[in-house]
Amino acid sequence: MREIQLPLSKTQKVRLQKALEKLESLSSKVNSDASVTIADSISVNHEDSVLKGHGTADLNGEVVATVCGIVERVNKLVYVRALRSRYKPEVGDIVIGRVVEVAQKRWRLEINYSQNAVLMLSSMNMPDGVQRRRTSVDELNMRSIFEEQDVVCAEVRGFQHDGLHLQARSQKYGKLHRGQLLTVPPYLVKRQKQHFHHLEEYGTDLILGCNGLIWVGEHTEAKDDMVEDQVNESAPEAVLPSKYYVNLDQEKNYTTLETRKYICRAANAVRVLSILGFNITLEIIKGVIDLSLSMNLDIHDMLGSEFCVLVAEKEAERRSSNKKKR
Amino acid sequence: MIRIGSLEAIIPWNTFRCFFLNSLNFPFPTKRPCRSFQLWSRLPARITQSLLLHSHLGENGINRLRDTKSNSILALPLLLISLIICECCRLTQLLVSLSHEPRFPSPAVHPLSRLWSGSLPSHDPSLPRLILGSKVVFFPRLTLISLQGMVSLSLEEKHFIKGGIAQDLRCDGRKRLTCRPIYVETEVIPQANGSARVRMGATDVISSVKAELGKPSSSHPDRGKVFINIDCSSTAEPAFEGRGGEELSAELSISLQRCLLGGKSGAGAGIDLSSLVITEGKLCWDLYIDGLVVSSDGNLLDALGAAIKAALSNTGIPRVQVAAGASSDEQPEVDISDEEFLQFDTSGVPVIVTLTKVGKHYIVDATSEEESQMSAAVSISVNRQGHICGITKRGGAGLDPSIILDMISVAKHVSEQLMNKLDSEIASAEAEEES
Repeated sequence: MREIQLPLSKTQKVRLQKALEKLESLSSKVNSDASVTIADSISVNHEDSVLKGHGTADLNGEVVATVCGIVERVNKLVYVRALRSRYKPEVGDIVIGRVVEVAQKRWRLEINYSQNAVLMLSSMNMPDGVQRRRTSVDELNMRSIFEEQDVVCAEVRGFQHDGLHLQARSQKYGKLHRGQLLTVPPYLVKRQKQHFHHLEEYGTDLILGCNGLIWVGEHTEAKDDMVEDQVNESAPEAVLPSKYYVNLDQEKNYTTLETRKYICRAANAVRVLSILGFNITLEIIKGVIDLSLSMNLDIHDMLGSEFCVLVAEKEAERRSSNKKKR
Repeated sequence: MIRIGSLEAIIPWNTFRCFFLNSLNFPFPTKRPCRSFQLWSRLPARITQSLLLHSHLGENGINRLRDTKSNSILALPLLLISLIICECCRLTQLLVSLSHEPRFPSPAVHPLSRLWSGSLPSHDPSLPRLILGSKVVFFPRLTLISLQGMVSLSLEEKHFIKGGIAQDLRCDGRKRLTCRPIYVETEVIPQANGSARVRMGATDVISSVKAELGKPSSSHPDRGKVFINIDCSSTAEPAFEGRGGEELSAELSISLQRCLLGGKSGAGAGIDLSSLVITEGKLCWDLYIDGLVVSSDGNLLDALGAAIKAALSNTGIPRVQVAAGASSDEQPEVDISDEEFLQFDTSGVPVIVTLTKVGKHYIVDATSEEESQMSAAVSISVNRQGHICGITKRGGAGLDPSIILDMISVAKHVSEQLMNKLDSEIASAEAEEES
């Protein structure tokens, strides 16, 4: 297991060790033969011809793993899915990316994948919500929608001949405002039914990107104002995104301190979980936030080792109680 | 010749120099004036840009400005000169005001000698009146190398970070003057005489001290030598790959030398050089202090300073027996003990506190995101007695003297906490190592 990089006192070390052991004992042992470490041999039926995929190699007629991970078999193909790797997109994943280039009719986004993803102008809703063919004027106005360095949320559409394509066909996708972006290892975020969360009690939004980028920000109302006024259609040149009102230079426009406190708290909760290497879900994040609130902890103290150990213990407790219920 | 827009004026070099000197009330090294200018010509890349933008100087004018590196200094645009003068006046004003502060230690170093990059003889008897701020070693550095540009942030994120700093609640929940928890590990490199690893958040640096026998320089026979060299690993930042980290490494090394080694005369130094001498004029220890940036998340200078302090306190220098009876002109024979080590005295080694100015406020221990938003950063090294041992400045924006004074008092306060925290961390790291 990866060593957790935390300055710990002796008692804290013992406690953390205990909690981690408990967690390990709780994990299921069902598929233990499917997981391999480097140089483990993979049992294959040599009668059939075998196609060796990623993470495997031939050693004295035996197929061995070259990475730590899970053995996957698709017909003849045998490959190992690495445990710690870059993000591997799957169709329908919700990802957060950063625009690296505004190109012809498309934006290129960095999404922590081995190549940049493409978001076509035609595969996203126009800011005014009107459905129509994209004109050359729209193409010229692309920078008014997303600029370089902007943080954008989108969905994986699939692979096309020129790479990975994304789409953003709803108002909930698009540029992210007023918050901070966190980076965690992508394997900590599992695909779920819901990736957009609104923490009502804190007035914050939480977006868990499957690619390990997590957005914590002020809550904004995402409304699908589809074709409300057809008047706009007559003047597509004047179209500016409705969200573009933000005057960035005005201090009045800063996020209120109250909301900011919750944003920082949620962000630190994610950071703690990523330090400990725990899965990041809404439930666990909320648990960590509530724990810190009930302890009346300062926000920056959440990153201290004492709180991390406490979170590990709580998590072990929670999982064991979950197990008992079942 | 000076040109602004379409105006041209030819000013002889001497006139210009007088103008410059008068405005500064400062001695100009008469022998090699151009060298000093090189330093200034490095400063105003930002100013050059703004010149381009605001005064519509053509590319031509700017090229000439670049020519200042050779001897054609006369082509400096007037605007630039006035900016330089402004900066200098500010500096002198600051130094004067600092010199009235009784709390500072008084190393007899010309405060601006470093500024002129060695072109000014430091012990020239004709200079006494002009040692303006003799009470503080002040090393203004106005280079523009920083981590800016390595971090990419959207406008929205920048806005959020700035807002957080204005509201005294930064992105990771810290207040403006709160440091990240610091974690020290000692004895990480067994081959070195002393080594330490310091982590602050995601910033991770390693520093090692190696002692070798050497010969003291002829100008200072009663002192050992210390060399500080910093290396930026390309694992820290993709931009450091190849020669990319070199510029930053050089900047960090120079800043650390200025913060830790004091002035030319040796006063204000954190490391007591005279304790490194074995036989005066013949034999001394050379300390090679190497730092490696393993992972970078802002505030590298402070982390390196802390790592060097921890490494020095971990350093054991072998006891040396000099064979008696050697004649005075030949190299004495020495016997280096394998068992007996002398602990290095680190009580005088300062900690470095960098105050990064973002918007109207300044913060300590900035992350790289916050550093990318800075307008200026002042690194102040403070020792245990609360004396200032060195100051360096980064970033293109100017600072008001009153703000710098304010920063200094804040830095003193912060350094006290940092010093205590660091000392307790070093102590616990050493205790752990023994157990």
